[in-house]
Amino acid sequence: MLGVRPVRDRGAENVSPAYLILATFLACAVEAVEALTIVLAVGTTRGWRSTLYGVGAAGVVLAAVTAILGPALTSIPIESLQILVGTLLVLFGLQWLYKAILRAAGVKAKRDETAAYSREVEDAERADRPSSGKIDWYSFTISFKGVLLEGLEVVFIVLTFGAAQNRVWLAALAAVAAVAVVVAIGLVVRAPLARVPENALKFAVGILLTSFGIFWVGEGVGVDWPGGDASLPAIIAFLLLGSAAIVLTAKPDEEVTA
Amino acid sequence: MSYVRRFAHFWWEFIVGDNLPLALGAGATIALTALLVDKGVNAWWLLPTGILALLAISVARAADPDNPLDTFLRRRRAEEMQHAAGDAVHTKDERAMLSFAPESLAADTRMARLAGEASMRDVERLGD
Repeated sequence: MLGVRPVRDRGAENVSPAYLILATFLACAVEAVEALTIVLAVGTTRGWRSTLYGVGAAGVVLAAVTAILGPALTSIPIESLQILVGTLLVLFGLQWLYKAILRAAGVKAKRDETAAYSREVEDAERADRPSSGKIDWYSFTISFKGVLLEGLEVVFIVLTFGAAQNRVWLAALAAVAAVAVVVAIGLVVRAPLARVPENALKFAVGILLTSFGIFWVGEGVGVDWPGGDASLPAIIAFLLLGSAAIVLTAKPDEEVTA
Repeated sequence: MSYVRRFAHFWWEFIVGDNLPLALGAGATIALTALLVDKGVNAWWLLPTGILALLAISVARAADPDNPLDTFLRRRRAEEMQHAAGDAVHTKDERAMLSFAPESLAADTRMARLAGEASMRDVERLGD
């Protein structure tokens, strides 16, 4: 459909919030699983008090970043926001998708939560311990950094998705729900969630982030998508089928294992 | 490495990651789309097809371990990681050990962790 660019009269907020909830929930669940592995390893090895202080401090920093940057992003004019957010999502989503494809094809080893847990436990056992009653800075620092690093990716997705649809609060709710679900399962299982299909989730999140990025940056630069917002599911399907084909063609003779 | 450089490096890893050609290609596709739209061509097809093609090329390159560009980039990255690990550890013995095993990088040392600096495991974590 080639032609002269028409004047646009709609914003990205017309896109169904279901996509926003799904992408944020899945991305947050994956990151929460990884953070939980670190927190569980440090907490069970060295004690929970300092570990939970670290988790709490990271949570406060993440909440503050969301609260400060959220309104700042939503105040940017919609077209500039679409270009900025769309470009960032394409770059960020491609990273997720590229690695998920390599893992699905067996070119790169899949993440092993049990092995990651064992490494953290080994390190935690080796580190010096403080005298009783004092804050264990090792536990604090490891849990703080673990939760902060994993959480920053979630904040990024919450802010970009939420701001582009003017629904930061909804994205934040989906993220909180995902953390609650993962933590609840972690409390029941009391072990790293090794059976969660992390790569499949990352593959799905990569597809969603990249598709939204393409859609929004296209809108931002003035593309008139055929079918309007209905073209978004078509972009998702196109990327999904294309990525599946790439996985099939890239499979090596021997898979790489962790 | 100064704090400013470390901060910039963190955000670079966070947004662009370790596949610069893929990021540059995506940026070029977006710029070309904007240019075509500005010239009056509704190039809606360029972004999805261009991005998917870039992805296919990147994966094909990664699946071929002998391609010269990645061999060069991998060697450079290993040197950077070895250098960073050398900065993070504080004993001569540990430095000597790392010089023999640049890939294993037991670089997530207590020093780096307790000093709050970005350690190699943090970088790996971003890569996941």
